Amino acid sequence: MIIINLDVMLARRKMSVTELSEKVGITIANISVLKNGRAKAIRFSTLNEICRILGCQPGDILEYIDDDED
Amino acid sequence: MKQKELSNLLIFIGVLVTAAIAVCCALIAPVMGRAVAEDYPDYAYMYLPCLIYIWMAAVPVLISCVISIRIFLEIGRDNSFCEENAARLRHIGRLFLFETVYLFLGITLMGILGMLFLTVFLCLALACSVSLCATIVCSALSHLTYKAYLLKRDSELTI
Repeated sequence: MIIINLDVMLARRKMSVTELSEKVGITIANISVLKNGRAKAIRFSTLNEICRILGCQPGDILEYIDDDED
Repeated sequence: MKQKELSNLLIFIGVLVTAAIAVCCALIAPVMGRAVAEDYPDYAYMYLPCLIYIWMAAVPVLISCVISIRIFLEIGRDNSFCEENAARLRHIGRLFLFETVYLFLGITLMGILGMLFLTVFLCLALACSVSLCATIVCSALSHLTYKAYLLKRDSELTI
C-alpha cells in the first residue's frame, strides 16, 4: 500500500494546502483527496510539480507499506 | 444537441410513452376487447381474463418507463455514468425478463386453451421478442455503464 506523506512535507516547508494548490495548479479538493489517501493514481506531471514546489524527492512524499504487516 | 436539451427531449418522450401506454391499457384495450367479445360471442367469457392479462403485462413496462425517466434526469445533471444508472438499467433488464417470461407463459396458456389464433400468436410473439431484446440490451448497457462509472471514478481520483 502506498501512503502519501504530504502533511509531513507541508509542515516542514511551513506551507498551507491552499498555497500548495495554487502553486501546483490543482484544486484544494484534489489536494485533500491526495492527503486522505483516496487518490487512485497521480500523474507524473502533478508529482513533478509537487516535488518542485516542496523542494523534495518523490520518496519524501510517497511511502510503501506492506499490507501484510498491518 | 446539448446534454440538457437531450435530457429534456428524452424525458418528454418518456412521459409521452408512459402516458400512451397508460391510456391504451385504461381506455383502448377495454373498448377493443368489448368489440371483439361482441364479434365473437363464443369467446366473450375471455374478455375479463385477457384484459387483466394485458393490464398485468403493462405494469413492468410502465415501471421501466418511470425508471428510464430517472436515468434521463441524471443525464441532464451530467451524471450519466453513475452506479445508480447502472443499477436502474439492471432493474429494467430484469423487468423485461419478467415480461418475456410472462408473455411466453401467455402464449403457452393460449395454446393449451386452443385460443392461439394467428393474430394473437403474432402479437404475443412479437411482444415477447421485443421484450427479450430489451432484456439483453438493458443488461449489456447496465454492465457498460458500470464499467464507465468505474473508469470515471478512477479518472476523477487521478490527481
